[in-house]
Amino acid sequence: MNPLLYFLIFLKASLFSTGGLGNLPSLHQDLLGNGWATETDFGKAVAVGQITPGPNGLWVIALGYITFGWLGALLALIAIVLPPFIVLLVAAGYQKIEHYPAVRGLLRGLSLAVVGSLLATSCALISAPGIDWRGWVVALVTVLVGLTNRVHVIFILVGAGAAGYIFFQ
Amino acid sequence: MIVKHRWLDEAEFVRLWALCTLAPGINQLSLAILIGRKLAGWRGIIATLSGLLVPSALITTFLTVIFTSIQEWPPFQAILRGVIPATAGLMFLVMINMSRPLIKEGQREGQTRLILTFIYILLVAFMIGFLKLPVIAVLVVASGLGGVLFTGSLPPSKEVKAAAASPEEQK
Repeated sequence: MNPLLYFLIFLKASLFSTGGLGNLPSLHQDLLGNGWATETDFGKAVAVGQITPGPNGLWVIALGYITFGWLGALLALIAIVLPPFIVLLVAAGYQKIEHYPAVRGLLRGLSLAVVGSLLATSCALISAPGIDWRGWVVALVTVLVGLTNRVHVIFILVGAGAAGYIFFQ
Repeated sequence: MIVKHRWLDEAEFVRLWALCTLAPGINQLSLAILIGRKLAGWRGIIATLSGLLVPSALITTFLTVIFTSIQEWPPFQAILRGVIPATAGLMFLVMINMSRPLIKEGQREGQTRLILTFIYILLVAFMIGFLKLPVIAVLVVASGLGGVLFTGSLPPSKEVKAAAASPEEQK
């Protein structure tokens, strides 16, 4: 693994992302393409990120550790901390950009595209090798329970873990 | 919390958050940067960012270390086989929640915009999922096209600018 390339993949993904999971589709494509991560690595990292307190975008640190050890975790951390500094430029240049209606459209286009890319990636994760009908049931129940907005993510994951233990043990 | 300490008032907070949604990456980090700078310049940024990041990054790393060290243990593998499809479901939920305000906005603006919204999402998903086009390239083209298709106005600058000014600028 080339650390610089690895870092740039993470940085690029975070630069073109919105929200905590917005960088996942790009990371998924690049790391899988290089053979540096598996579908399961992403599942594990997202699970850790959801369990821990704080911004859920920190799942990337878990992905770094799983795929590239301590160095990976550090590079991932740097890659997610740098892009938010662009807010300083946004704050400084806001007066200049506010009059362009295109800026708003640009952001809306980006948000819609991030939604589309997440749709594609969640489909890829669920059709990964090793996931059979029992996995699909777990995913479907997760979505249905999640849509009610009544159950905390941690309990959903605990339930899924219990289901896994019952199904596969 | 921030309002309680009179570091910011409610309205300022909302304005700063609006700026953060214009910046890439994790919005909470952008907000920490803006608040830190407003309170104490660069030192403030370092303080707020590390306050937000250090504890949660440590917990995340610690949990990951435990996770990877027990992953060969058979019962844990069974548990993982349940947890991993659930994360795909969670990602789907994140996607749904992100799309809600966008779909509402489209609804407000009439049928054409609403249909355009759905076409946008599905087309991007198709290009990345089936055609395997590079994600970043698709995002860049999609935002460029968005600039042409979805024009609209941003909130007025006077308020946002005042809220985001650093301490030096305010003196």
